[in-house]
Amino acid sequence: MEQSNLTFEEFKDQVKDEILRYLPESYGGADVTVNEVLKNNDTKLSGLLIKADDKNIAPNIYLEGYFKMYQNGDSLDAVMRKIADVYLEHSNVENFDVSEITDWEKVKDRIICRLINAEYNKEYLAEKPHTYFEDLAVVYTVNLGESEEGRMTAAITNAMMASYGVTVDELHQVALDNLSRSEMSFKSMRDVMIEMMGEDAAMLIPEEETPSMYVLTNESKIHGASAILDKGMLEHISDTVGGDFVVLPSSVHEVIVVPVMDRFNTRDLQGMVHEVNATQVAADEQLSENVYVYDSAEKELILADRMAERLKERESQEQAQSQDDVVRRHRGR
Amino acid sequence: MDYEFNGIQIEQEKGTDQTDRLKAYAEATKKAQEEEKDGAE
Repeated sequence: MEQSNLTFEEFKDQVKDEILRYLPESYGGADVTVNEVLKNNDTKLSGLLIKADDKNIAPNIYLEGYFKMYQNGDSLDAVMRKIADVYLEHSNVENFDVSEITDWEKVKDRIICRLINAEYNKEYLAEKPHTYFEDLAVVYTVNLGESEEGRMTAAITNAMMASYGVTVDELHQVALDNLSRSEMSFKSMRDVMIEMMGEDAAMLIPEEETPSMYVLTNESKIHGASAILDKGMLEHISDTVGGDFVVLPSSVHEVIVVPVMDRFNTRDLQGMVHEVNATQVAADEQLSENVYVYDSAEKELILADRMAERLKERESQEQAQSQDDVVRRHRGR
Repeated sequence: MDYEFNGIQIEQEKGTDQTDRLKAYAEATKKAQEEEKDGAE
């Protein structure tokens, strides 16, 4: 096969038309398609599906990485061989038991909340039941099993929810109940950094009497930002830090908790989130550019801007109350 | 590896290395604290 400067569209067509020639003859009747797959933050990937007659499940091979290999000088032939190898390596899966995702009784205890940005996921949310939480949205996935390679999940679609015969509110409550029973991790930033970097981290964050930052995630550190949906955890954090606290949306996998202190204003923290998102967080893992504050009086986590308005309102109510008290005392003389 | 079953996407979710982003937050905080301290002096 001669190499040429194919565009990505032409590359996808070539792969679709030619890939069966690189697979064993038994795949002769397989159905080959390239479909757009929507991932977090409306990231679109081109997934190659090769459906063998005797299988109801097939690996989704994303072609973007292979196109890069081709652009970097690998021959189309070599890239096709690589795709075929990867397909064969992952195609030996057993037929999927459909009830694992269709039977509500089997599904309900394995529903997980996933917290994503509402604005960045307009397309993704169109076909999925969701619940808004400030500028974020909660979507729901079925946990199909965890291994060293990660966690297999199926995002619940509107059609799946309809087949379960439950409402979004019921789905949300089940997911929150499962979350509250799950393992979460709330540790000081220093402890987390030492776990990751060893004692080098001690230079970066000196030992503090009271930690100035904490990291909140789940046990697997996969989509662990959803831990902020657990009211019990938020109350536990409030008790630990002594009242209100700020939440920085580090990524979809974890958030950072900062006790409210005079020396920080939320604008500085918002700038910090913007900077870290722009330089350190992959586009499909960004959670938000906003900062949140836990209002310990109301036991509620809200956007920092809303908290600022709430504090102003409380201040003016207190002023009005104190003026009333003065008037009452004056009249009482 | 992600899979597809009857039009339903089955995703292999993976966590990512948190080190760089957490380090960036820790460094930015340290810098802000130092600036605050310098300002106070």
